[in-house]
Amino acid sequence: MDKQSLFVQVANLEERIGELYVELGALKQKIVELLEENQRLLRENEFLSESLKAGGNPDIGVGMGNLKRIYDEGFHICSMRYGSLRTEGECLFCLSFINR
Amino acid sequence: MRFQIRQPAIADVVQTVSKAVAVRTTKPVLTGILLELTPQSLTATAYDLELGIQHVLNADDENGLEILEVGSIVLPARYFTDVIRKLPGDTVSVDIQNNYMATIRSGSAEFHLHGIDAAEFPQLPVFRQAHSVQLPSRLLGELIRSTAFAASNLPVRPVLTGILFEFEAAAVRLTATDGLRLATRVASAEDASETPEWTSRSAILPGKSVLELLKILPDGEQLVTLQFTDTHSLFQVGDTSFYTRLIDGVYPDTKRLIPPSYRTEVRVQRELLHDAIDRAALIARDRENHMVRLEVRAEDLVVSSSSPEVGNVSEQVGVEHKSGDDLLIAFNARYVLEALRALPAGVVAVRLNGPNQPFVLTSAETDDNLQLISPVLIR
Ligand SMILES: [Zn+2]
Repeated sequence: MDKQSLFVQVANLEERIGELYVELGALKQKIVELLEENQRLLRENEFLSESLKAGGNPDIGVGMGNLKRIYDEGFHICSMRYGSLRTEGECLFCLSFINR
Repeated sequence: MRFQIRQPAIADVVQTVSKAVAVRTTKPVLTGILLELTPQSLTATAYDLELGIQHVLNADDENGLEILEVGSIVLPARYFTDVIRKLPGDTVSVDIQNNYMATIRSGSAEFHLHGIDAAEFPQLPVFRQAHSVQLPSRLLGELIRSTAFAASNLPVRPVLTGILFEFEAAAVRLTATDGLRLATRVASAEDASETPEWTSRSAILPGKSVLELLKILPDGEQLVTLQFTDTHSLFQVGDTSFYTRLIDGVYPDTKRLIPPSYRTEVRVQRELLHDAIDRAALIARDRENHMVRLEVRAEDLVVSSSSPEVGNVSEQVGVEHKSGDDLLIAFNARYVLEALRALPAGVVAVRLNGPNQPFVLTSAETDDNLQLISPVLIR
């Protein structure tokens, strides 16, 4: 058996696996982004239909309560990271928004 | 191009600029160091298009620079740096032939390195009539050390990976935050502009670049001149010029993050608080968020931490002064330790607004240096 060509084949395979790994990582990131966006849209929809039921314009009080709930469920409500998952702890920007 | 120089002098120059050499790039010229020889001086430049460092060496007795023929060349930084460092003799001679081949001789060693035409090296940003201020080097270093650690490492929000430089009347303020903690420090500066238009100008500098700048700042009262355009900044100290690109974008308004008042204040020796939290973190270190608790009870301050698998620790810390309500708050020990190290030694003031609100650490004397930390909620 040609050892040289076997080696080349394995090296090629290694390279392809490496590429697949990178691709997998990118897909995983995409899933996180889609989950975040989905969550954001769900919340937004919920908020809008609730304020529609309440009649008239979205009320600031109701809106704030909703935002607080979204924050407590683990999502940013600040303009810096709106709608993205809070993974590291309490956010100074979100807290200042809630406290206002 | 031909010159002679003492080995430690060129090793030093190459070392200084090498931090701006591009590591990953498709343009080979960016992985090189540009050497330019005029009748009086040798200039070395590295520029990865984000960060640029230039050092000018004027001939004197100490560096033994002898200019034999002016000219310029780009030499591959990786090889040139190592070659220079390991040369056997005290004197080095560099000779460039027409085909961009460098001959480097020292003692009885002779290297030949392939160079690149200097004309291919990118131009550094131009700072014509830019705004400028001056700060003592040591003070600028302190400003950076008090703030840079709080900048974000995550590229999600690029502006948060930067450090905000704000210029107020005769003062410079640096601010950094990753959204979980914030560090800000102000110091007086001299306006060196010909047109004093400093008021309310600001710039966001990449945190990584600022940390590189810190490495080349001398620890003395030597003045550093800061210059800014809309896209770049330049720091000049002695014969070294440090260029960095600015981060494009709007820095969030961080002034509204800082609580205007507080319900509880505890004053305590920085070292005592730091060491107690450092010890409590031993138990918390493997746990999520490195959570340590701080309890203010009557005139006492108790630092504690517990972990179901490891055990627990509790320690009373003597306070200088306490005012306001009692409370129990939890936080990420790492953030508080870094903030305490950024404050000057002596008595620090811890200002709190209840267990769910961000709290401030600052010097008891002045709030020039302010550290804001978000709590870990105790559920
Ligand atoms: Zn947030």
